[in-house]
Amino acid sequence: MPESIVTIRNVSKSYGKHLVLDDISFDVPAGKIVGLLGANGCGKTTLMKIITGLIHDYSGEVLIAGHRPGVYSKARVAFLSDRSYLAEWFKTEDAIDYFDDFFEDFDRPKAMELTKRFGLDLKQRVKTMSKGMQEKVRLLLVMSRRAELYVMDEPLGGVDPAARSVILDIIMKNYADNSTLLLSTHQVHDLEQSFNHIIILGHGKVLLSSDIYDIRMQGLSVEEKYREVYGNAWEVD
Amino acid sequence: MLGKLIKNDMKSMARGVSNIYIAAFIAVGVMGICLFFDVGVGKFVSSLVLLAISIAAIVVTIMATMGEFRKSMFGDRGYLTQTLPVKAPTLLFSKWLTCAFWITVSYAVVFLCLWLIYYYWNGESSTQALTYILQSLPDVGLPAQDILVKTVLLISLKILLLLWIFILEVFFVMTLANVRPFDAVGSAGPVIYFFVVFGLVTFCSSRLERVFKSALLIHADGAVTLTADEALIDSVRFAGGASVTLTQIYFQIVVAVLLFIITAELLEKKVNVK
Repeated sequence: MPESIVTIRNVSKSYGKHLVLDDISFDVPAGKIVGLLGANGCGKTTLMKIITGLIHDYSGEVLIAGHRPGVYSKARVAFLSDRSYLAEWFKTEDAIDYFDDFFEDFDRPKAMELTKRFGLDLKQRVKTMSKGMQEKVRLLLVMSRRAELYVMDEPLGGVDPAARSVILDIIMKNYADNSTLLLSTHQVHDLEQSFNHIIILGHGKVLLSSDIYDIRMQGLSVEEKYREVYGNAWEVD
Repeated sequence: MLGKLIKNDMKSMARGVSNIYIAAFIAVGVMGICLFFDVGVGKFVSSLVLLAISIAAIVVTIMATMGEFRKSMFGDRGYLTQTLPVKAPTLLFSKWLTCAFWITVSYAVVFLCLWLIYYYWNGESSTQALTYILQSLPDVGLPAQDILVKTVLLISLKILLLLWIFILEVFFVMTLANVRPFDAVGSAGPVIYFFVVFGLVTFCSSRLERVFKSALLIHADGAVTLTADEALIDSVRFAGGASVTLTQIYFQIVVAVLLFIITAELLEKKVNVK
């Protein structure tokens, strides 16, 4: 297995005059659970969209398992977006069929098992589902893939505290062996026990990229480190 | 992958256009009932509705085509479509083929509805009357019936082909509107770019037609030949034949191929899904 699954080199991206990512470089270590942390608007979603091939208009180099974002990487990356990307007329079973059609790594029996576990109706249409149910469908689709890299944009965003632990449990128990999880969040507290590595973004820069072990060796929790790094970043501003 | 894409795109587009076919089917049903019970007002209203539906069919299909492409490529659904492990040309071809198919179906529905309305009101006797009118055409200096039928058929095919090309123009402008710096115009972008592209293509093809005229000739004996000889076109017309110009088609096919390549390239390398 390569040391890093994602390589980011000198990547910059701006929206108009607003520079979101400013010449950032880092590696996402393979086989780890990596937290992409930062405040709202710091470029987490933009970075994930670049990695998943949804944004092409950037400078610098992005490699996923040694390849630029494209057909090869898309077959290996499972993306959980916060957007409702399923057609409204889809039933749960249509969404499963769709993923089964296009992703060779899709595990249909697992999808069926997760459907039962989430208490979802295979015949229910997306447009009649609540926001929470739609999130569950998207989660079961992504977690039913045996992907090399799972990219999850705020998987706990907008979820009530009771459901957070269930969702987290589903993610941790269902991602494929030896794969990498890249999770973006600003709810550091909920996920800090799960991370092996964190990358903190702020003001368009990588403020920190560190193994959790090194942070613990400093006698700090992830949340404390996050506050420390972010606090300094604000002071600099 | 292409087969799977087409299957899913067909299903998705069917949802957008099926309502118009269902409405036409209901109108035909009402027409049948009114005919059976001889309800004059019902016959008139249901025929009028079917006529409106037949005219709307193409418009609704084109609108559905645009909406489906925008939503599935650049809306929230783009987050799934554009993360599929499929090459952009394959994705684009599937979308185009699906839209071309449904536009063809709607096009056929228009002709079917018009024929049905005519037959509904005039019955067997009107068919004879129509035949009589068509047979009298040469007497008023127009081409004979079989020439006219062939000409109408060829012009209909030409319009259908232009509609297929039109889809690619729409796909191109929608894609361009999601590429920097063209996205700065906002939601008005696709409309502006469409008028620019459509106007430019129409202008260029009409200019080209002045210097190079190619046409399908329908001779007075019914034979169909291809020519680029302007004098021959005039002489065939003078002898009671007809012609359908093709220069515009040639030019637009070339433009369509170029637009397809550019759109696929933009999708693969430049587009940003918001």
